[in-house]
Amino acid sequence: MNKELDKDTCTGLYKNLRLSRRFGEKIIELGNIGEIPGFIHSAVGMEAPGVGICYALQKEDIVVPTHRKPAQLITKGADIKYMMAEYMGKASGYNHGKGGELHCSPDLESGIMAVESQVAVGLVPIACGIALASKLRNEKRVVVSFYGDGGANEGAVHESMNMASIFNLPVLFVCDNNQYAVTTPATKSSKLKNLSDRAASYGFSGTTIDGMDVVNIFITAREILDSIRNGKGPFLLECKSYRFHGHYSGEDLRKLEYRSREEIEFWKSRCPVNLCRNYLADKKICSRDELDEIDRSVEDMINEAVEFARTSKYPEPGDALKDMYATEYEGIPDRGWV
Amino acid sequence: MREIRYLRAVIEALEQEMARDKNVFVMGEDVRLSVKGATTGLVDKFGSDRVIDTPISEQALCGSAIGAAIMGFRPVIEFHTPEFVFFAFDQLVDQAQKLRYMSGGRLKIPITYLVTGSGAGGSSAAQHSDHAYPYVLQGGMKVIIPSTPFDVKGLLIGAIRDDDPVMVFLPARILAMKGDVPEDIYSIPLGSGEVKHQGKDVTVVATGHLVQIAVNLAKKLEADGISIEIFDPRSLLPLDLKMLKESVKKTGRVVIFDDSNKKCGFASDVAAILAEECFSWLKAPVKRIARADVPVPFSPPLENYMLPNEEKLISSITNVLRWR
Repeated sequence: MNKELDKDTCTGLYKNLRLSRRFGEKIIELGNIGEIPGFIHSAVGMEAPGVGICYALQKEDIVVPTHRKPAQLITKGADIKYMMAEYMGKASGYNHGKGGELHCSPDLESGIMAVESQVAVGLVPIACGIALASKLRNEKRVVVSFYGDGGANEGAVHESMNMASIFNLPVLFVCDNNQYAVTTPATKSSKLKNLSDRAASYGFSGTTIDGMDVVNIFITAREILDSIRNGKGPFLLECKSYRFHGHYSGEDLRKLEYRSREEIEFWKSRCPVNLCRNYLADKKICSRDELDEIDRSVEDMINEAVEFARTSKYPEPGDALKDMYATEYEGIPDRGWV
Repeated sequence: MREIRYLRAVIEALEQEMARDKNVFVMGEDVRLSVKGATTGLVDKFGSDRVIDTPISEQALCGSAIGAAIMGFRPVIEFHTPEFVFFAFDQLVDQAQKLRYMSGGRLKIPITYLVTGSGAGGSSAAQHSDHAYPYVLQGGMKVIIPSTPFDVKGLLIGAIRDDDPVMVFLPARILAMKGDVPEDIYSIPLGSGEVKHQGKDVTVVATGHLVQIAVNLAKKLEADGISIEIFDPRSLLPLDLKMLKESVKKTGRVVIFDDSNKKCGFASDVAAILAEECFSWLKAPVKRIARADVPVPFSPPLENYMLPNEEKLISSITNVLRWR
C-alpha cells in the first residue's frame, strides 16, 4: 500500500485525522465548561471516513456532510477558526451564529453544503440536486452525500438513491455507519449485514469497508470517485466505524446504557488516528519525530482557533431578524410582538 | 387586449421566462405531457433537459430542486395534487425555507413551487381539496395566490425571478377563467396587493378564487346602495399591510373571506393583526369566513356547507353593517 501512496498524501491524511480528532475533543471540553452552548454531537472515533473520502476529492467536488462532520468539513478545506466561532455562537462564525455545532456550514466555494436538519438525511435529496446541476451543465463535479445507519432507513434516502440511479447522477453515497442510531443498534434497524447491499436494489453498485482504516478508505474512494467522474453514475460506500462518545453530550447524565464497556474498549483499540500513526511509523513513511511535529502544529492550530472564537463578538441580538429573505420588506419578518 | 384563460397565462409565463433565462427549468411528475395543463407544450420548445419528469418521490423532487437552486438554477416544481405538498414538508419548510437564514444569508434558494388545481374542485374530497398555505406560511415561506389571468402571469414571473422559495397556489376553480392578458412579458412584485373593487362601507379581504365571487357580489350590492371594497392581497407573505390598512381606515368594517382552515389560518392572522394595529378605526368586530375545521367531504351538500361561499359572505357583510 505504501508504494501507492506518496509521503505527502500519507502525512496529509494523518494531519487531517489528528486535526479532526483534536477539534472533536476540544469542542467536548468547551461544551462541558459552557463555552459552547447547546449540545455536542461528537464524532470522535469516526474521523477516518470523512478524512479518507474528502482527501480523495477535487477542489470543485462538493461534500454534503452529516451532523457528525468535523472531519468531513476540515478535510474538504473548512477553516477551523470560523468553525469554532460558529460553535461558540459568534458573529464571525461561518453562519454568523445562526447555525452552531449542528448546522455549521462553510462557504459553498470551499465545496461544502452543510446546513442539515433532522437525522442528517434532509440533505441527501439536496446532494442529488447539486449533482443534477453538474450533469445539466456537463461539469465533471462529483457530489459526496454522507448519511448514517440511522438515516439510512428514512424514505428520503430511498427516493434519492432511486432518482440518482434513473438520472445517472454523479453522487457517491456514503453510509457513515457508526452502528448506533442514538441508542438503537443498526442490527435492530435492518436485517442486512451490510447496508451497501441496498445499492443493488436501485441498480448501482455498493461495497462495505472498514471505517477505521483511513489509508484503505482513501484508496477505495479514489477509485470509486474516478469511475463516477467518468460517467458511471452513483455508488454506495458503507464505512463501518464507531463513535467513542454518546449520541450527544447530555447522554452521560441520562445514564443510558446500550453499549458494553468491552465493546467500547475494543473499538477504542482500533482508534483510526493511532492506526494511521502506527502504520506510517511502522512502514517508515514518517519518523516518530515528524509525526510529533505534525501533532504540535495541530495543537497550535486548535489554540489559535479557540483564541479567535473567544475574542470574537456575539451577533447583535436584533440580527435574529436578519437573513430571512433575499429581499427586504418593511415589518417582515414579524418580530413576534407589537 | 387579448383575452386568454388562466391556465394559458401560466403556460405563457413559464414559456417566456424559460426563453429569457436558461437557468429556469421545470421539474415534476408528468410535466412533459402535462396532466394538469400548466406545462403543456414546454417540452417541445425546451427539450427534456429543461422539462424533467421524476418518479413519484416528492422529497427527492423538492430536495433536488434545492440542490440545483444552490448551484444557480431557478427550478420550477409542480406538485401533482395539493396534498403532495405534505410528502415534501421536510424539504419545503425544514430545508428550502430555512437554508438561507441558517447559512447566515449566504445561500440563495430561488425555487417556484406550483400547486396547480389547489383547493376544492367540486366533490374531490379530503385528499384532493386542500389549500395548504397556512402550513407553509407558518414556516415563513413566501406564498402567492393569483386571482385573475393577468395576475397569474405577472405574479408567476415575479416568483420565478424572486431569490427565495415561493409557493404558488393556482386555485382549481379558476383555472379556466378568462381575462385580459398582455402578450408582452411583465412581472408583478411580491407583496403588492390590489383593490379589485372600490367601496366605502366594508372591506372584504378575499383570496384566490373567492376574489371573483366577492367582486361579483360587490357589483350586485351597489344597486342596494351598499358599497363594498374588495382587497386582494395576491401575496399572503409578504403581505401588503399598508394597502390593507388604508382600506380599513376608510371603511372601518372588515370581513375576511379565505378558503383555508380557520384554525391558525390566514384569516385568523389578518384578524389578529387588525385587532392589534387598527383597533381605533374599527366600527365593528372583524368577521372571518374560512373553512370549517374538518377535512373536505365528498357529497355536494356536505362540501358546500363547510366551504366559504357567497351566502356566508352576504350574511357577514350584513352583520358588520349593523354596527354603527
